[in-house]
Amino acid sequence: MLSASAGDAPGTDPVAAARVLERALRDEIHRTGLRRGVVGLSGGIDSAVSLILGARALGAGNMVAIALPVRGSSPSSLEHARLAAAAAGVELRVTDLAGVGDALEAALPGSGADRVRRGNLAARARMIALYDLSAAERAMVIGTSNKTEILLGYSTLWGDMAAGVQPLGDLYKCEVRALARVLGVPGPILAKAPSADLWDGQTDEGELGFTYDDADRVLYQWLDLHRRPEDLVKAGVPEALFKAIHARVLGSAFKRRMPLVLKVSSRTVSMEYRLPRDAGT
Amino acid sequence: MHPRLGDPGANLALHREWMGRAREAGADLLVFPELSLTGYCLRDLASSMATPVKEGPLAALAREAGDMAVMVGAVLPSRAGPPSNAAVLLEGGRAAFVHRKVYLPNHGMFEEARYFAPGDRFRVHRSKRLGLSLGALVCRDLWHLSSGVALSYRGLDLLVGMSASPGRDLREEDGSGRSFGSLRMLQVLNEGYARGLGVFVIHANRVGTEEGVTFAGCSEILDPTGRVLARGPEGEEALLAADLDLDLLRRARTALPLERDEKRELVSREVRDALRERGRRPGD
Repeated sequence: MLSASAGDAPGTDPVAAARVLERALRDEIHRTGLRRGVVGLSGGIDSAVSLILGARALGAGNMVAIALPVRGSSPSSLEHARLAAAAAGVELRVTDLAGVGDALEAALPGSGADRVRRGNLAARARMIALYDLSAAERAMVIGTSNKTEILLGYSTLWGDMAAGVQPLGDLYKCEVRALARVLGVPGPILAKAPSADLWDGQTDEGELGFTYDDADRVLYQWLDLHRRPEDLVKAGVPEALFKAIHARVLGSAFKRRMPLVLKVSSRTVSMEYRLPRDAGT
Repeated sequence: MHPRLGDPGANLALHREWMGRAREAGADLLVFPELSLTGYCLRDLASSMATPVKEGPLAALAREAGDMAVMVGAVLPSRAGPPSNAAVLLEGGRAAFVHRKVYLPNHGMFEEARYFAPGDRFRVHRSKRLGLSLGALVCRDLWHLSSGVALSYRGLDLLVGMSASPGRDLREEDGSGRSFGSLRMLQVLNEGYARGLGVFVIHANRVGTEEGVTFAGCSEILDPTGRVLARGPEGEEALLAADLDLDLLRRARTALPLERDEKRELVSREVRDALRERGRRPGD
């Protein structure tokens, strides 16, 4: 694929990132008046990293870790969630959402037979569980989305994207992997293929049609380094790959915005009137 | 320091605390970071944060500063409509000097030109109390090298920089340290101004986070040879103190007489010619 000279790939320093993110996460949670965090553990690398960062920022005793299996979740996911919780020094809670999924599918005709709808139901059922825990435990929901996933829109709106703060949101997948090694994420979690774990054998890369490493390099050079698409193709990026990534980024822009407000006045909320969320803290 | 966003009352109290510590340390001059009275990511709160220099928190701090000179970062009203992002020097019980930020970054994550009006001058202040001539630059002003040169043409001994510089580009490429690339740039600028202009540099950069953005700190005090007299920690509040040996201005400028040799008329002529050739552009 692309030439692999040092500056061509995302390269956020993982040691510095661990230090900066730990401090920023603590600051952004404490300023809201909360002292605790909750992370939904999928058994994958992103949620393991979010949990360990949360434990470093707030103290392991202030973290709630919960696995939320649905029908079709692999048993190994639960095992890996246990490994992640143990690495963070946090006790793992498990709430089986299979019954919730069944009830939703029964109430919403056709949803069970459609993989996308089923996946969205699972992601949103988990969101409901996490936000209920947030209220019960006075804990901020700490998200697990990384920059690659956010840009590609490989996520469920109001589902796994729902969180109070996204500590990994400015790190590409390969940078999350580097951070995971620095933070001591257990080997089996580092080694496995990324998966949303919504059906047997599902992998992110299988669904996307390209690898995270390829996506990371293309996104980084295109968006962070401001390289022109035609120059990327000249440098060896297959045109079909660029087009697929480009289409995903543009096609998922709606997932990265709050709903549109239709303008009629001269000072519209979020257009002319923009407030910092952290005001007064 | 780590100001509270959009809460001048709380920040007034923080300023009093730091002024107390500085007084205990025997400071003649205390420099706060950019927008220390209000916080940085104000967005549409900016205009409601505007405070006149002769009233309110600035007047109170000026009275309380006593013999100490204090440089505060504040939002000031401006005749242009939108307010200014300003450095205010409180000295002798009043606001003795004001610099309104000239370069308002408005790209990438920055949107200062949306909410503020730019300043239109670089001036120095001759402080009898401190026995030197000082000029102030606010954050992005520092990144435009001509700002420091413009100040130096008016006779500069101490360049005071105040920043709320968002940490970005967390890559380690040159082995110089695992920190933000933007911080490294500020250190390069500070050293360049100190040695190149033969001046003391005090640069106060805030810490804390706002809206997910980390401000990395690492404030510095440098002498006219470029030596770092004090450097603050990354990400932690700190009071940095250094004695400025003013005779070093003479010695540094004797050893390396850039100030004496500067060809101001030639530079001024060249700049005028270049501008004539370019044609005047809107916004220049």
